[in-house]
Amino acid sequence: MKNLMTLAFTLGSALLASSAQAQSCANDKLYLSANYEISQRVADSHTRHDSHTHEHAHDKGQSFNKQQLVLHRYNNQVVHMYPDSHYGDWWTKTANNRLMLNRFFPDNQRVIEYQADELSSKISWQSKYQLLNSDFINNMVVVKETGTGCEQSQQRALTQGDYSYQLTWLPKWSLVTSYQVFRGDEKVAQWQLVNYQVNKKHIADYIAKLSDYRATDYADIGDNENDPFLAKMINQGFVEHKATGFYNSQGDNISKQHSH
Amino acid sequence: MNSPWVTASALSTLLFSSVAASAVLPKVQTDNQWFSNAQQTVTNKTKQVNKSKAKNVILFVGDGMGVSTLTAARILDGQMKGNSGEEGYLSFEMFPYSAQVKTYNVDAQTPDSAGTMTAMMSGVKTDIGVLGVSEKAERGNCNSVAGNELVTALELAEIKGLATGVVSTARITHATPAAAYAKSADRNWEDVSDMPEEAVTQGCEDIASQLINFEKNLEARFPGVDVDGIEVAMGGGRRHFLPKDEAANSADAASSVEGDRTDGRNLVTEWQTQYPEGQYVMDQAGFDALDASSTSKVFGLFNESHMQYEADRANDIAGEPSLTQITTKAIDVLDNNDKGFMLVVESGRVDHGHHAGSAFNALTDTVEFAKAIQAAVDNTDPEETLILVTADHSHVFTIAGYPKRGNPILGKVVAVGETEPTLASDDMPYTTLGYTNGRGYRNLGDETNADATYNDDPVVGRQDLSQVDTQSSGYHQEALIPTSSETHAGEDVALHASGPGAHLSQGVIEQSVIFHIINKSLGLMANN
Repeated sequence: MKNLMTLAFTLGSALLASSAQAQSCANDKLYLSANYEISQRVADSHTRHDSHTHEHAHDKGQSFNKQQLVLHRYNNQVVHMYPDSHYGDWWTKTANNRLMLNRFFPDNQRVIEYQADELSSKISWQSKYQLLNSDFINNMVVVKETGTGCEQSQQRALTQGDYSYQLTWLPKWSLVTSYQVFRGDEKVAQWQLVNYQVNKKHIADYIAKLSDYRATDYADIGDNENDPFLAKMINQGFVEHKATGFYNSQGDNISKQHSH
Repeated sequence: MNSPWVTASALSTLLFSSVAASAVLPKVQTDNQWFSNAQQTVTNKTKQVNKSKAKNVILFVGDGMGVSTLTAARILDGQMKGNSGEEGYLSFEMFPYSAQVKTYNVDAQTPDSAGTMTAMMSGVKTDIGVLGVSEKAERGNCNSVAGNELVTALELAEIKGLATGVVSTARITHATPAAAYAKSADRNWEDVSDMPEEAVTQGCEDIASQLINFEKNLEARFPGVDVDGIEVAMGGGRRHFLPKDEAANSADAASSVEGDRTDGRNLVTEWQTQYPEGQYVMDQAGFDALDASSTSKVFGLFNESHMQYEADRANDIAGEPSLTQITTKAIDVLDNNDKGFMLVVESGRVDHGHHAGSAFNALTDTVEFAKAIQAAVDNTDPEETLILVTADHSHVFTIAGYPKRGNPILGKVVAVGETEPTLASDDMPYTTLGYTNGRGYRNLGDETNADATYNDDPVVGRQDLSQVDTQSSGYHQEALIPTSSETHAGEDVALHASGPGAHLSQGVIEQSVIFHIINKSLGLMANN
């Protein structure tokens, strides 16, 4: 299958596309799916809604929340699916370069639509597309670089106050392979790429399926008290899980911080 | 006892009392501006001449525009003009007649727009969530619609040969505008993809399709009647008229696929085929290019979903007209009919501003609504046009504390004689405006779209506002009870009236009375 490229990723070694596929990375990165494992120290995770669903791991006596993140890219659309939390965010960059968010709930086959202008213009497309803002990445110092072209891999680092950040990523794919946040010597969060693949049709089918879910404009939720799904939202609150993008140990969205 | 002697005695007593009172009132009282202004108001009332028959009726509905919204918007409007604010009036508050309207639905103490607007348009109160059908219809049950359809004032006006129009800043298929033209067991059946398959199979028609087929459907329900369809329909909601096909996207599309319809129909092109002389517009440029004097029919869909808040209108992709512009244009088209017209105008996003917990957006949209009403006053003859202004329901929106006169209505409470904010018993300042429930506090700076609140978790309870600019467009008031969306409230709303038949708007009335005021004034029914 021409578009299928699945590469296992091993921590500590560079993950590179084959040379035969390397030439097409500029186009292929537009139709990419990537699986991440996110670990956040419990005290820093700020995942109050669904922490009970996460696997708890222990590292040096610290408790970590773990959850999966599946990233899908399809041209001007990006999907962040959180299987453990049973919801996902489907972002679209509009013709006037604003972001439109559809939050979907596969278990209910429902979508809540935020109109493009309902989201702060401070939310950057990059923070959705590549999980980190380019400004933030560019502020980091390149400590090691291997490979060339599509096979180029960079290790970058940044220290800000008590916090330090270590990033490994593939610039030509705009793809994070590893990202770690430390407070002093203590690791408080990690995003780890597990694998990724390029499959345009698969992602197109996936997005088509999402578009078949029953959609409600968020502005209309208050007028739908009789709809059990929406009534629950009105009375008990929305699933406001804050795991999109990367967070520092203070629970602040780094993507937001660096998107101004 | 009813003897002439007693009557003369009573008159004598009244005259004596009047003279005596005039003589005893001190100059400090009679020279007082409040006194003389109020006296003049009553004098003016005694000179009012009531006419009963109207040529045209315009029904303005501010969705969610309760009485506290009117008061706060009035003050904000005045303060934006450099005044204290409290002494002013929104344009329609100058109308000579008003009434207090009970809003509950047949099955709900606190109502929704579907049931309330159905009452106004048909004279029949009904259940929450249903459109144009009586309470005997069951929400969500297609089969329960047949036989329970109600006839609306707009339909009667159409049958009478008047020009008709429906405009809104919400989706034109949304509950309030839809209650003027559609019959549906569920307000959410805006297009075929919103309906359960069973309802489609049973033959129920989605709301968008009913708008396009209004003429055909009305003629089918009244055999022998020949109508020419709705002349003006403008608002948001393009998604419900377009097929789910990227090829049907407009230049204004925000979504990758703009249309929602799963039946492949393009209702815009169907409308154009049905009315080849009509003008379809979807942006500000197209709207501006309309020549009202030569246009017989207008169909305008300016947004995929709801139109923008007035304060956020500049951020639209292809540009949208204001409600004032839409109202003016609608009247200019409709008044081409010598028999007269009936127009329904909804300010749909007052409701959404409140749901989002943003007094700023709710109030600035109310101020724009008042401008639209003034435009209607300016563009119609008061001798022949009845203008009614009301709301479908209110919100849990309060004006509280003891702020001094002229204190910024969006600001923190500053007491009489003070310059610093009053502190509550928790030693923190508080705002005059607040909500009983909702998503609560936000400090979004210069954000002009209330719905930005939906991107963050609810924050309810007290916040330290000492360093917060609560007058900024992005500030959202504190709320007591955490809910994902602020809710409607159940108290009465106001009805303001001007023109022929306006004097029928008096007292405390059921919402269904509004239909009968329209009917009486326009003479819609033969036995009127």
